[in-house]
Amino acid sequence: MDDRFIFFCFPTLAAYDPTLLDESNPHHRWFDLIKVEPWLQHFASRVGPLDTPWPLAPTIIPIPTPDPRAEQRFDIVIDSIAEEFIAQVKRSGRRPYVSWSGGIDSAAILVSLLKIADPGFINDLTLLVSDNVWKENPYFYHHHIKDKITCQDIDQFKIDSTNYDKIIIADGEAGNQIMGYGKVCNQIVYYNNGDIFAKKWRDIEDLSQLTLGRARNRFHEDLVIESIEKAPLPIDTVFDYLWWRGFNFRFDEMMMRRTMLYVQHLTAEQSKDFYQNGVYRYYGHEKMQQWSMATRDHRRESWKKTQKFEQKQYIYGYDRNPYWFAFKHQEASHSKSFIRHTPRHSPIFAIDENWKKYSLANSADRRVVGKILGKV
Amino acid sequence: MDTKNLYSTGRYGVVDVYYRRIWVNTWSETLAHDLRRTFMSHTLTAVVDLGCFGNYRDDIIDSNVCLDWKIPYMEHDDPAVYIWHSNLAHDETLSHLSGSLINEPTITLLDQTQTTHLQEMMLFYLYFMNEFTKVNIDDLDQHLRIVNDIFRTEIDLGRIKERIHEYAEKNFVKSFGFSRKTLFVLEREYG
Repeated sequence: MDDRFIFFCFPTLAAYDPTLLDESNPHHRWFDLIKVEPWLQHFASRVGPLDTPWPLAPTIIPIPTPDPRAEQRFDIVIDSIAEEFIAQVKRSGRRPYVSWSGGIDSAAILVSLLKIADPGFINDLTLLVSDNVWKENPYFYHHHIKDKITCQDIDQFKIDSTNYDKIIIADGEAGNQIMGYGKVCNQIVYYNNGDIFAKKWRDIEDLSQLTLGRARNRFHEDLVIESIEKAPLPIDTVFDYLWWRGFNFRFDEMMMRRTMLYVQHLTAEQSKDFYQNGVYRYYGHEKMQQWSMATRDHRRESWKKTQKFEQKQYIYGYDRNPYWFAFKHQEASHSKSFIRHTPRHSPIFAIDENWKKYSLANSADRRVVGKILGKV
Repeated sequence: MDTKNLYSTGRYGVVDVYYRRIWVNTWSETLAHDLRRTFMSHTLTAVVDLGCFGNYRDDIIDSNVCLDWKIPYMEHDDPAVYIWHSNLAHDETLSHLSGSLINEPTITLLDQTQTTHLQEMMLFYLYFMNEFTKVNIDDLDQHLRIVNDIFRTEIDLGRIKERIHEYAEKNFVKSFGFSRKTLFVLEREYG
């Protein structure tokens, strides 16, 4: 096989063949990453190739060169991105959609459009929702969405050859990687250890404190440390370290994991076109990445008040719901639809740089991965 | 109705998952879970059997003071930690915790007025729903589902009462039993 992968869901392979997790498997250290990185579906470094058993293409979303004049106000950044999204929709003539799980990341996107867009745009807008979305933020749904904006059941929404070039979807993927390493940061703040955020990560003897469940993995730590040496900006504090783990290693995954589901009924060519023109990633936007790089010190402190403080403050400015602002935490979505829409529930486990999809349901594709893993 | 006179006590605490603070406690485990589900978007809570803590007594912890009480941390390696943080496990009452309740105020982004107001909404919810237990009214479940939605979709107690009142007035003829009882609970039976 000559082509390299832009997405390789090795956790799906481990579910298919649990022996890949055995210590006797020569590649088990890569599969062990599943224990350290929650809900991992793809692992790639944006600052240089990893020596993975499966050939990986260069990152599909290189880190921008840090701009010392980057905007540091979240509301200005997201409003600006909303304006660009609206302009792109108008230029392209595509019908706009927002994938709204009810969570913080997609709520901020929705608020930006409610604030910025004209009534005509809102009239054309459709929200892709699950039947559980009203549980995430029923106040917002009842007062701002119900009977005002068209909603469509995400389970009934299909992207195929008839519509892939006529729609554009904005979703909240990579919000966690922009804002900070949610689950671990929350665990630290929960135990009232927020002071550790400001400490130099190099002074932390036991980095297992910085993983969920305190799982220690030296291989993972070495990968992170090697990448820090190539980072385009200083990674000094514990907060920087945690943020970098997501910003560097999980960004490609976020750009691709939902895309895998969007393009499942499309040809390779259509899939590539849809990724380039049919998906709009607020949190992958350069302005948002610049904001994320520039505001780490600020967010290191704001996280102690509440996670994703800036996003929630932005949403609060619109809906004035103090309880959601104060208490909404990142939790697994109540929506089974948003959970189901992951490659773990699909036999497609990889896409290469020509956008060919690889499926465990295809024996030829299984042979390819078998050769890569030394199983055949 | 003076909601400051609303009162609740009991061994089932509705406890904030993140801040571990006791929002209300009640003798009804069923109502505690109903409240948890209804207010889940206001704040994420779990129902905890406060009796598993060594220093719990029902004459010490009640709605007048429970906001200044919290359950203890669980140790990092305690399996209960994972249950605690998994919203998928909150349908069960947590009754295997240990330690002692802690008398300590909780600091959040809410001010005192907002904190008290949220508790008042919860207390009014318990009061309202408790009035309908053991009554035989046609289509009661359907009406209570609608009332639950009102609590779920509002953040102001005055607005909650207004909407419940509007609903009762609208259904006065069709659902006389429910409307009459509701107006009584709202103390609006005579306008």
